[in-house]
Amino acid sequence: MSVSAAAPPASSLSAARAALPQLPRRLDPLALLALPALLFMAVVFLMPLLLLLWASVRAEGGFSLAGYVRVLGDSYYIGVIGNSLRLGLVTAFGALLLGYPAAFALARARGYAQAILFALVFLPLTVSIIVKSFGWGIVLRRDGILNWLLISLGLIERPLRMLFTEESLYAGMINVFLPFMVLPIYSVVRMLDPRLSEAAATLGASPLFRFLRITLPLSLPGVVAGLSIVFSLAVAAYVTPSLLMGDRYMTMSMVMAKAFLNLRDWQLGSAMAAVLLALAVAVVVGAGLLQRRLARHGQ
Amino acid sequence: MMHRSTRRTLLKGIAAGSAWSLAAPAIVRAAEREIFVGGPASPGLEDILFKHIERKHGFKILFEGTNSLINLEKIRSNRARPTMTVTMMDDPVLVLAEREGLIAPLRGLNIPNLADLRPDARPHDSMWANWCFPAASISYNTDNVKPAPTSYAECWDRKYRDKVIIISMRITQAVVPLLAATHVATGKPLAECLRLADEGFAKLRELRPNILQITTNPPQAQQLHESGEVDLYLSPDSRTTLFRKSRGAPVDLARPREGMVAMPAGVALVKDGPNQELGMTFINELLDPETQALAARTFFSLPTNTKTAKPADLDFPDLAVLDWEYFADNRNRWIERFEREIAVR
Amino acid sequence: MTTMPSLAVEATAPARTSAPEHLVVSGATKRFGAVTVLDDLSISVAKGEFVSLLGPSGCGKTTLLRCVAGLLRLDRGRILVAGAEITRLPAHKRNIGVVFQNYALFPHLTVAENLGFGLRAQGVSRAEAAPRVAEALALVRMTEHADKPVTALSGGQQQRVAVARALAVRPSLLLLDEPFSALDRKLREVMQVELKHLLREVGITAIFVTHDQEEALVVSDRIAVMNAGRIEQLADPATLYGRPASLYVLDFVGQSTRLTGQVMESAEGEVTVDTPLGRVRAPGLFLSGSQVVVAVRPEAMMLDGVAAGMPPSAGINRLTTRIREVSFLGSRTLLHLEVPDSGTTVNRALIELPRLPEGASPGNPVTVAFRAADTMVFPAS
Ligand SMILES: Nc1ncnc2c1ncn2[C@@H]1O[C@H](COP(=O)(O)OP(=O)(O)OP(=O)(O)O)[C@@H](O)[C@H]1O
Ligand SMILES: [Mg+2]
Repeated sequence: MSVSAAAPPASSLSAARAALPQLPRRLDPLALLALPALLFMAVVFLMPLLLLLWASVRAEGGFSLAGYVRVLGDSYYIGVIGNSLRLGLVTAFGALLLGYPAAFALARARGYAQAILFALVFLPLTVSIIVKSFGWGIVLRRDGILNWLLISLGLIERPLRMLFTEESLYAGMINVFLPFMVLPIYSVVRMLDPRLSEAAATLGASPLFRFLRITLPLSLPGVVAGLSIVFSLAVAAYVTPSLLMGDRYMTMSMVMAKAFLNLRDWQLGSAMAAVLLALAVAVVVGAGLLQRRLARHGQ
Repeated sequence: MMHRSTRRTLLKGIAAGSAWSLAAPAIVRAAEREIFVGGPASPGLEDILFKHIERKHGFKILFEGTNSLINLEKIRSNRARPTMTVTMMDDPVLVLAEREGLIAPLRGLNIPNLADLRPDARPHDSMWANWCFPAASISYNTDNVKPAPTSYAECWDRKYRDKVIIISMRITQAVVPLLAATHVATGKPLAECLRLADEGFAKLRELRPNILQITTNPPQAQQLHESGEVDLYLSPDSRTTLFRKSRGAPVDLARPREGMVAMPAGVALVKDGPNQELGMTFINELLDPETQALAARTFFSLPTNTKTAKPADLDFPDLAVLDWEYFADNRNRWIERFEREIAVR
Repeated sequence: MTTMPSLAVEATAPARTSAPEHLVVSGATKRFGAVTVLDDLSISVAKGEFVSLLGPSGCGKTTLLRCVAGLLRLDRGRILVAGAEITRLPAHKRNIGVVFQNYALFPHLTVAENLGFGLRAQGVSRAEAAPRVAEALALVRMTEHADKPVTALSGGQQQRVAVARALAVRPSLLLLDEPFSALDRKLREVMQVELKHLLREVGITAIFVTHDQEEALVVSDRIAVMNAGRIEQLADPATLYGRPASLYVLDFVGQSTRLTGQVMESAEGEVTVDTPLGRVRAPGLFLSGSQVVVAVRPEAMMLDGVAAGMPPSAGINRLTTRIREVSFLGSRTLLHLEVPDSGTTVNRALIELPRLPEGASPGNPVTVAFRAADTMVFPAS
């Protein structure tokens, strides 16, 4: 509805009045329960976010997109964005590969077995990445456990360099973010009716066919949620890549930290932050749409 | 300089923070002779040095140990109503603080020991003072590297492939590998190399096959260094290397014939900070020959007061003292160059 | 309604036994931990037959179905379908259709996709499957709902889709686990008749689990009454009702007057039993002194006035007591009679009448009569 300075025509006024009493009815009182969370998010997230976006376009003379030009017009920063995206994708799909079967095991296990599996998946969350980075140093170095194992098994002759490699970064990232993949898949799989797969079996469907046509499509909402959570976390990761790889694998968050803390370059930092945000929002919204499509059309 | 935040300093920090948020009681407590000092989270600072000063002068030091840049950010955000009296930071960061008018000059204040400092320890006409000079060169693993390196050029030797860690340009100590590269490239004395540093990047780039990592996590690098995974580490300073050596770790600071570099450990008065008198006492005490000897023993660093009796086992050769203002002016550019030319895969 | 003449039962029985045995389960045993759920159970079902499995909750009905379908492994015993052993075959190779209690429709698929699922799984091309799906849709009158998601269907519609989905692959045997339990009573009665009709039309052999005895009587050719992991009796509804093999079956199927007693006399296939309401004569072979239970179906009992018209030689039992309760059930009336020890023991007495007699109110004395031939005697358990 357009707003004009002139008095609105009577008909639209009465229409507006007629619509009024329906408003409270449309708002479910239960929605009020979200109010504290909304307020909280407005203060700790929305306001800083708006300030940040404002900073990304502010310049001496007023408005400027120079920050974005610096980020998007520089092949180095495009490379950094590429690093972050690659890290996000590899971590998300790596975690999916490991987390999907784990989520099933978790959902099917009972009693002690389930408690132990739960601990295996979630205990790593309680160990700080800083502590882990020291542990990985011990495992991955030239005279570390992994090299020793590979040499004793006769798989390699001389120790491999594993520390501070892209592969070890991926492994570390997957380790850190795996629980965020397992949990959403687990919560979907747990609700899957095992009789659906049994019904498919009695209709002559082989185990593979059952998995592809029943279990997989029905667990997809969890997969999509897990992928978008892990991707968003991994694409924005700062601590893990800086500990596991250092300056040799610059991510968007590392550039932001450098810009804000070392360079005091708000334009660069906030433009990079806005680009990161846009990427994350695109992924989350895209995943949400995908999920709705999956829910509506089935396969 | 290890930015390690121990639980103790953290608790102290919280204590200091709460004193700060309750402004009125803080003033009352200030009357009970307390000062708030911001500085690096180095081991030995509180438990040895400050304890000594507290005992000697009968006031309390509330300390918050953190990284220099964060320290600066705190002073900056409390500029209207400073709570910190004294700040201990790297010179390049003090340069920034001076430019922003966040610190007050020490010249002309009641700090008698200032007069006895070596001239290069009183930067910018005693805007601040260097209370000690830790030394930096090459930290090497004594089990793997025999004999000790005698020149910075040795770092480029192929035998160190994947065996060298250098510190990220975002941390001040990264100046050492940069100077080393510039020296190898130009043959100029270390102290002069800072102004030529842009010419050293190409040489530093040649070091890349040897570089295992460019670290922003010095404690982890130190662990790998001591375990023998890394032969050469450029360059934690004597506060770390010699301290760890004294604890039995197989590491030592090389004495290259080109010399060693003095790391800056500055102390300054926060402009308009509370309890300026106590602040002056504190700084004067840091510069006192007796305290400096203690600091030298504690931090394996060179005293800056000329009247200090040097501990016998700390016979540093002359250190190259750098123009940290030039460094501060060029650091951001170097960070960028470093990232794009050295760190990039 | 009177007791069916036993001759009628015997007349149909030979025809059925001559039909080939389609499903044979023998010596089936299944344990879950320490609990034996199927206990050396055997059952045979003829081709085209519709058998109900009737039994109380937890007696192992679902377990038996799941074992036959291949969703559970038997610990011991064998299963044969059409003469072929399938005991160790996985479910997807058995070609046995199952209609699950909650239907287990695939929620992400449409009605037509649900029906086509089995065909596609068995490698039938989409083009070939289409007419068969259409046929299955027509069979259960769901053609106009073909493209709806199954989650949008009503309970009855879902049930029909579940049946059609199972039938679409032309299974050799159809197993239905309480397919009506989620439907309300009215709809259930309609669906029962519809299902019976449909299965007969298709000519499939089917086993149908229920714990509703009326439902079992309505839909099945034969009923297997299960008790604690065993088949207690497998018979057509009339036999089951008229000649229950045990007290358990008597109790489980229909109502009855039951009186405990002791055999006083036993001669020539007839016993005289002392019950709390008086002496009763009945056909049976028991030793004098045995403890027994005498049972009569309520519709076999008459008020004395009616019985008076019968020839005395027919062997009429007469009992006199008082009316305890009158239950008016519309088309008929039940009189609950007073029996000493009722409530605490098996003893109870019921008489079913077409209409409410005059003076039938609680507390009034009454004399009931029934033929000795209609009286059953079971050993007291
Ligand atoms: N997977 C299982 N693990 C352990 N016990 C089981 C399992 N499945 C069934 N049982 C037990 O076996 C017994 C028979 O179960 P079943 O489901 O076959 O009974 P039912 O006759 O179908 O009962 P209802 O009429 O309630 O469906 C029950 O005591 C049940 O608790
Ligand atoms: Mg059941």
